[in-house]
Amino acid sequence: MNKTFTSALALSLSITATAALAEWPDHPITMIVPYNPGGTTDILARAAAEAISAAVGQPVVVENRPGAGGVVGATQAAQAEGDGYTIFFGNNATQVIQPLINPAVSYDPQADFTGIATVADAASFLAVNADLPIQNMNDFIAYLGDHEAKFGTAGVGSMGQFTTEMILMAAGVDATHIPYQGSNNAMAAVMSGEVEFLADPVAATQSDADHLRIIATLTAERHPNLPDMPTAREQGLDVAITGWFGVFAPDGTDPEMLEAMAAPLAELVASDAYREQVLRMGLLPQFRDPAETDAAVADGLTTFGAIRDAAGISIE
Amino acid sequence: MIDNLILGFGVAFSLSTLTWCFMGVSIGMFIGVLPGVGPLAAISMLLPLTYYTTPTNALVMLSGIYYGAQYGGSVASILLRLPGTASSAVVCLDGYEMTRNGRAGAALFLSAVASFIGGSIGILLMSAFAPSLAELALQFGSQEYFMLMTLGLVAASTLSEGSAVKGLAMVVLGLALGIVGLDTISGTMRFTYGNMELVDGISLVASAMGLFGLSEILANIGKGERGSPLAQKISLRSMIPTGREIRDSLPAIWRGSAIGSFFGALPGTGSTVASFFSYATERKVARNRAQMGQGAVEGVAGPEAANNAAAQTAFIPTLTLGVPGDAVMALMLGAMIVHGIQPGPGLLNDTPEVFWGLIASFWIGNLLLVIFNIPLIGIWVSLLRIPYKLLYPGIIVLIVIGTYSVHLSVFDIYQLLGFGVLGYVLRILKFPTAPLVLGIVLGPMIEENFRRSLMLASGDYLTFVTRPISAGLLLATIAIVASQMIAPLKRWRRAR
Repeated sequence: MNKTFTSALALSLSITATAALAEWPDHPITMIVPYNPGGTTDILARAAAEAISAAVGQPVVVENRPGAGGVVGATQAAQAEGDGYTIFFGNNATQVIQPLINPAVSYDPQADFTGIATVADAASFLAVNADLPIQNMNDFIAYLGDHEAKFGTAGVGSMGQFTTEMILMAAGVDATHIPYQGSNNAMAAVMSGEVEFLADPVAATQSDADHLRIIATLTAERHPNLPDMPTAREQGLDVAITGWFGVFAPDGTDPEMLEAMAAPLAELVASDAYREQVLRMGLLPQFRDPAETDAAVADGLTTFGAIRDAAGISIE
Repeated sequence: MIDNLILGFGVAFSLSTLTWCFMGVSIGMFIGVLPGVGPLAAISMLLPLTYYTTPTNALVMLSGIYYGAQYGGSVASILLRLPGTASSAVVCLDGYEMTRNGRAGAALFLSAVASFIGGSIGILLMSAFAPSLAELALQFGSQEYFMLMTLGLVAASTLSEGSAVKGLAMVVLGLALGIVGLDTISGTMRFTYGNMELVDGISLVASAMGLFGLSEILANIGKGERGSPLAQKISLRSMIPTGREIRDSLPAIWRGSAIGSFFGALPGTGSTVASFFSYATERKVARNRAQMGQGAVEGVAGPEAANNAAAQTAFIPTLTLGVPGDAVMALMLGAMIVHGIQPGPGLLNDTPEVFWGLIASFWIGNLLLVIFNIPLIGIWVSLLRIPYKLLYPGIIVLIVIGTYSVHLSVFDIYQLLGFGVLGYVLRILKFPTAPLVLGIVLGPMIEENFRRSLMLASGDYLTFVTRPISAGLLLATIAIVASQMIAPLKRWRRAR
């Protein structure tokens, strides 16, 4: 009986939804992008906006609202109506890390947002200063056991700090956190030898350079751009961590609208032109449907929440 | 190097590359002239356009916007005391005074020439020594950055004429304002009062526009002029600098070019810091140092040469190390990667045609800019004939749009208005505003690098002395402080 009731409810819901969907969208959709134009997130967001626009027959207008590491834009999106006319291009910083570490974040990534799709994953790499006698994960752990090493990150609460803390905990070693203003400055510090190592996607840009040596890929699988670089797991350290980029809608958005926007994104991620572009940017094309996207947020909150508590990462 | 340059010019002189170069520098110059709209906004808006051309053309155009903006930036600084870009803020001080003295045309001419020479020297250094300059930049760690910025701040206490105490008070106020926002080292929000818009700190563009530009407009409201008192005859004679002006400018241009080339090559400093350092240097050594702040040519020529040289050498760490020095360079790096070019040591070896084509296009772009600029001087100067009541509302609209364009934030417009009022009050009280802006620029860098240095050295203050470059900078700072204390001391002894 219960089952009948549920399916009847689902049926009636889908009838009203279809009625709403028949008119939607009758005017342009706004996509809030919480970073400046021209950056990685913005480039991905514009590709996604174009794909959705082509499918639903209305323009998708990208509105950049940078500030506070994406929190300004995310807050604005969280407060928008869930009517299918405002969507948000977020990543694991806005949906997972900031809500975990920043008490000033006023939105709840699970209650205020619902996932539409992810369009790319970010792979991190572990890299050391090239003058150090460290060629692989074993050398690395041995070196950290014998030396007081320092690691650079893109700032307190950055993805790099979480990744590094995860490695240190898994390996049972210690190192001092030195925060920098963004990934590039942290990488420059590793290159100059001011700090010994970092874990960040930016390291991939130095794969053939003289000052930096990549010693492990930090995702579950090897990266197509660096097929010869073994993962940390292959080298015996159980660490695999991925960042992601995706499209979200304010809570209350019709599930059929979510599906209608997710479908063209699945096609986009499958297309050769997009895959090539994303790989060139050092990212991995990766589609997740609405449910999988919500699951990625939930997983992230658990994994990163545990690292936060164990390592005591927070901003006040 | 000659072979490489021939290769580069072969690329740069192709019709399509020339066209993109022309487009880039003209857009750059135009957005430079517009108050507040900087190269960051322009490059990010035009980035998608370049997906339809070759990587070299794309880079040539985007770079053209970057250094073209440095040329244009000084126009509004000189004519209206409105910094077109943050890096030309310091040019307001003497440039605008030159305009008030009826030398607007000459100031613009000198600024164009200084820009050209500064840019050329920057390019020359880049073609000859790019890889070794990049290695040098890597020698600068947190300790060196801290000492360098401190040296700048000490030199800046003399940034403006008048009471030294008032200058110092403004530096301190600037440092205090620089504290606002998320602290990089500890991850603590400071003085943000729960406002997310303040997490990234006080907007540099809003503060410079407000303190220099808007306060000037506020000060002129209600003076009741029918026309502009600044309107001046445009004759060839008023546009060509006198022999004396040229003689006095040249040393400032050489010094400015050297300072600019150095700061440009250091990631994280760039053209704004370079222009302030150049101005501070001129106040110490220029022949007309007594007239600095009252329309001395060195105050225009030095900083203009410096910011253009820095705009060129800023490409060194980006191209040869793959480490961008500022937000604009990070965007350029992103553009290269999107176009399938991997910046870094491989760039010179794997795709020399891109690297050398770009450098050759810089020469061509700079030449185009100086050729554009000189005939335009007459048109710029004639802008001063527009009555204030028509000119000012238009300018306010432009400033507001420009400030908004940086972070696409309405909150920044309120900051602009706040700083405009503050600037007006400070003006009435005869407090200088340039040290205040410098405090806002340098404060966060000084603090961050100081604390990071101590973290790296486990709290040992000797780290600033045991590193040779850091120790040298410390000695230079002490020398400046000492020289400033000796002069009043002598005066005091003589008076006894």
